[in-house]
Amino acid sequence: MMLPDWTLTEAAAAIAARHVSSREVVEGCLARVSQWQPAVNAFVTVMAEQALATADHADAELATGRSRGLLHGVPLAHKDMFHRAGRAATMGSRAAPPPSDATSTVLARLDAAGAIELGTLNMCEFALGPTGHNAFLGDCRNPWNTDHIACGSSSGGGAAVAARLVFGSFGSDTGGSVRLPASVTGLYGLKPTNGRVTRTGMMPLSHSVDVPGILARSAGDIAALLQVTAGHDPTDARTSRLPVPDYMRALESSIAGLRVGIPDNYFLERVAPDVERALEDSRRVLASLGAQLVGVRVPYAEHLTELSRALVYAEAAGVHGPWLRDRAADYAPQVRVRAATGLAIPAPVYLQAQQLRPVLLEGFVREVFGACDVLHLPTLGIPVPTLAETDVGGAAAMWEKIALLVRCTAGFNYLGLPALSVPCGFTENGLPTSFQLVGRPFSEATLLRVAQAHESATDWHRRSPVLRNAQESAR
Amino acid sequence: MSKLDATTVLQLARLQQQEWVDEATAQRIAAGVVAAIAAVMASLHEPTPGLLTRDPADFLPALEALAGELE
Repeated sequence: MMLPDWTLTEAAAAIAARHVSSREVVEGCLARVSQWQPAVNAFVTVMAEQALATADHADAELATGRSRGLLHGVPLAHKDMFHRAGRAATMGSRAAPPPSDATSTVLARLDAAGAIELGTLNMCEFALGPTGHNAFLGDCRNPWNTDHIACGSSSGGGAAVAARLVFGSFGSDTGGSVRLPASVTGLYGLKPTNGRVTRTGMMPLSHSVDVPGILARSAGDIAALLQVTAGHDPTDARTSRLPVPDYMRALESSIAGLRVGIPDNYFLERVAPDVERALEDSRRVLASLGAQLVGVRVPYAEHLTELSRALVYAEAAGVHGPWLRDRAADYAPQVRVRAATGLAIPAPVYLQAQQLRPVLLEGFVREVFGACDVLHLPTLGIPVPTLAETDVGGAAAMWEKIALLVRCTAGFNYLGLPALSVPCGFTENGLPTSFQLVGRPFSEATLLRVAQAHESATDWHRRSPVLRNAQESAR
Repeated sequence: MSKLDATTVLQLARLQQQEWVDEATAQRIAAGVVAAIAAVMASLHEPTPGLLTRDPADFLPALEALAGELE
């Protein structure tokens, strides 16, 4: 197997065993960045010299028998909204505030585990959008076909990991912003339980809904990245003190007897036939591995997305209000509207949406997870749209299409539940599709166990986009 | 579904010194706000005992209390 085909855990094992040096791996990734960046525009900055110097240091440490941990010498890159001391994050916008004087806890924990940061990645402006368009940085494009969106808002993470430019990426997920880019690029994408991973030093969009998320090429890769970043952070009062499980070990368990819930309502409506075929295949795979498929009614399903928006709109307006007042012209028009919608949300409505949250969560968990162990549903019920179909001034159906993007994801941000997008095939347009697993709070290990079982019986995660096709269709 | 007129949104925006909001933007904002309010109102009509005594800060403890056995 060639270096670009390795998963993160395979690359980490090869570096640890000194079958390959960290420098060789970083050089290989940098070469691919040079080839792919003009086609997909995944990176905002590439920090080649710094990454190579860090790789040399990692190799020197290994030569003396010292390993920093699971990610020693492995190149990653993250959505350009995680602060690093002294560096200005663009946050995808020309209106971004000045650089921070502190490094985000997620980056600090990745550093401590030995990861190498190769650069920073494209994103939707201020994480306010699900398509990957960006008027300031340039649109991010899907490596499987550059006429199509990479989704967002963690657009660069999906494009960079899928094109094998880095081995994993952190983004943020406030309505599907990690799961959607993962779904449309053939990756695994985890939105952890709210409180499982610290938000300190991550650009806020919506204080009570935001959560850092992970994009990677296998369930094991997600497990490794979660393992080193999960857990209480004294600087984030909304992180949980619950113990962090051994996610890597959980991958080894069988799913025989596990109850996989198939929604009776809402989530399987408005699903395209080719997406449904892939979903059905994935259900068949899980059943063949011993899972028990059960029908489940999902309460409140038709309201969850808008309940989430009541919080996100209001909190985003709180963050952006002062900046909009002075710098509205620096925002792209559609982003400006999203940032400003909360200006007209009445305060009692916002508070009621907050008060409803634990109540609806309790009802949801009781009803759904009384009947099953994990929910299985689409991440995105339609084939990946093109950039033109979802761009400002596009066809009349543009807003309808954009609304469909978050139809199956945003509700779980409101409920704070863990959700994992898992690749499960391709639609008729040749682009990837996926299923989504949702579990009870803090059940990431169970979701990863199901994903690993599915992965062991399929080869979707081994498929990779080919640059020749991307270049041909690149504008 | 009830409508929210753009003039009201414009007035709210002006009160918050958002002078850049124009008629077209106000209409888009109104559509988003109406849908979000409707979802909250519909959910409040579900039987929710104890709702009015819940503190929004209860959310993380609620998540933790509902966690199953950690693997």
